[in-house]
Amino acid sequence: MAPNKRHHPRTGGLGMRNDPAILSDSDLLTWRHWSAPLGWFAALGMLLVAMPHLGSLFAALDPEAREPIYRRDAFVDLLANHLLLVAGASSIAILSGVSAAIMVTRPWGRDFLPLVSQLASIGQTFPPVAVLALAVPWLGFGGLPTVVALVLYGLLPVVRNTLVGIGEVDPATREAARGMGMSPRQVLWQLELPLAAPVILAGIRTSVTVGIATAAIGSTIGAKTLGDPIIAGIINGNTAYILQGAILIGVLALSIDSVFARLLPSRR
Amino acid sequence: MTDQVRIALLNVSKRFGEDTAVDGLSLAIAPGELCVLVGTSGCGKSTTLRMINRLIEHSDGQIHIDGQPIREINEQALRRRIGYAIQSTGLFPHWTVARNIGLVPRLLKWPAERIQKRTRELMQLLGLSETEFAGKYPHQLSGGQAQRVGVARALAADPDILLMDEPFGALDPITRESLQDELLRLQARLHKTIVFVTHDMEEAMKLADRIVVMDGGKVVQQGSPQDLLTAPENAFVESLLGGRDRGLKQAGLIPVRDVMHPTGARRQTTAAAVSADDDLRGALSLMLLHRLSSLTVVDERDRTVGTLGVDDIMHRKNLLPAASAKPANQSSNQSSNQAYNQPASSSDDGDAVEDKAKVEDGAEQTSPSQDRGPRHEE
Ligand SMILES: Nc1ncnc2c1ncn2[C@@H]1O[C@H](COP(=O)(O)OP(=O)(O)OP(=O)(O)O)[C@@H](O)[C@H]1O
Ligand SMILES: [Mg+2]
Repeated sequence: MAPNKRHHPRTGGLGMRNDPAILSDSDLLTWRHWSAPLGWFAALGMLLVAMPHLGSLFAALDPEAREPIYRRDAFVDLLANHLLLVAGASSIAILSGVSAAIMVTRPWGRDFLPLVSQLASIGQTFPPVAVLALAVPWLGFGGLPTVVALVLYGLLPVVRNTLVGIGEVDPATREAARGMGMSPRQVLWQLELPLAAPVILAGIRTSVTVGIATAAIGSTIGAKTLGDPIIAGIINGNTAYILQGAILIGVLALSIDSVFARLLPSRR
Repeated sequence: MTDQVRIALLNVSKRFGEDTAVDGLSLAIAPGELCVLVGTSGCGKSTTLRMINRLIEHSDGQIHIDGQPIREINEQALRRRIGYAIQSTGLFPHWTVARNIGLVPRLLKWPAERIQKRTRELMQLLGLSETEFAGKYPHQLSGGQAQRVGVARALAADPDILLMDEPFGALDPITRESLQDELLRLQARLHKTIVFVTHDMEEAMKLADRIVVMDGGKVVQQGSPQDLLTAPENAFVESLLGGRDRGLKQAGLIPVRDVMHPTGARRQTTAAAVSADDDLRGALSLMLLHRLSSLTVVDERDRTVGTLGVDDIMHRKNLLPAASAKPANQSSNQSSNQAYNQPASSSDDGDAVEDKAKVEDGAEQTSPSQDRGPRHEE
């Protein structure tokens, strides 16, 4: 999750973009194609089931801990809630980010282009912890301020990549599309969005995976996330708790990321 | 031709901010005419073309299509009835060749079977094998193939009008020439009204019924290729016409068949042979190359049909005005009538007449397979 990655939408599987035939639909449906994500999710499931029974292992890692396994909430519940928060925040970030980028690339919205890209950059540079601190007085404790912080943080990669993706469409192709009599909406849906899709998806991938890691800070203001064991571990000086939270967040992020990795090169 | 006008531009101007790209341009293009706009870079050719399908709105003046001001026609509806082909093709990179060709019919909501049938027809018309190309993506095509697909796409909904902006500009000379021939062949059958932009005068000479020379957003001269060669308006037109090569270029507009002496099939006169379909420029070049003052003329099956001497070229009367933009068609009509009017009765040179008629027939329908192709006149 190197932060510099999100400014380079051409990383990942994007080299394939000029060769749409390289991965056909039938490839997408084979088991082998999905083996990596399946592996990651199997690992995640096994961790969830096995974690409560690994007391002796964590006790060995951190002999001072009074209770080696975090038991205030089931890991499954924490994971489900964590995912829910990220899913909510990402949906909002994707919908608003993609539509904002589309609007400012239309002839009538072009004036707002600098404004929108600046707003998105500010959202990203503003630390999510600060957003939380500022949002709590307005929105109270729990999930809502967490979602707000995640949305702001996740907007930039989506907006930036949508702008880049649409901007990369060959002007001659766009002119031909208009010259053939396509309406502006048809140009958007049949030409610009399909061609920009891989770049947009790469932005969404960055946004979502970063969001999964960042959502843990919601635990500081009472949202139930996989950050709970980490916060509890920091407060109680229990390294085993921190490890359990961190491992689950890491494996979750990798699982979701591997799904995107499989989706990307196949996009036309 | 007729006083009918398909595309009319009346005093049309286009300004981009301070700059005037097109300046008071007037033009009347008749149905079925192939009108070529030529001029140096930046003289407003593409701007003129794009104003016709409203990709660019004109600042002043009026543009009419079939008598209707184009501002009164819905933009998209207007463009769907005007074919548009450009140098960079603008094919959709994520669509197959077949889907690209079917673009406008799909916009017009034709039923799927009709689109498929039409796509097949067009691929055949433009010499693209369906099994080989239908499923390919644009990046898998050569420049010439992509350009064929671009032209097929422009023709898909059978528009009356075709706008072409340097469609063959990016191709090598041989591919370019074969596509030019193809376009002439298509035009002889489809009779579209074509506005064709190029900065290549040779291309203009070869294709045009009428050439419109532009400079600085204005028309400098317009007329048939012959008109221009005979009486260039000024030094600018003359330099576009190739300066001292003018004589050769003029010779390039006259088919050998119009000047040669028809002879019996058995008479072999010289070592070098020129095709009856070739032009006088090619014949002169052959004469220079082989240091001959006369050539044997053969038809497309390599049978001797006549002779051509330097004197025939030099002393030919009314070389210029009569041989208009379409000499091939005119002469072929005459001679085939002649052939039908006097059947085998004339015994002395019946052989020659018969042979000549065959040549002309061959010239009229470049290849017999065309007849099996689809018809596009509604
Ligand atoms: N969208 C535009 N905005 C501003 N100026 C333009 C625009 N389109 C064309 N022009 C200007 O109008 C003039 C004519 O351009 P146009 O494209 O019609 O030239 P052209 O004859 O097609 O040249 P070429 O042979 O290089 O294609 C040029 O000076 C060009 O800079
Ligand atoms: Mg141009």
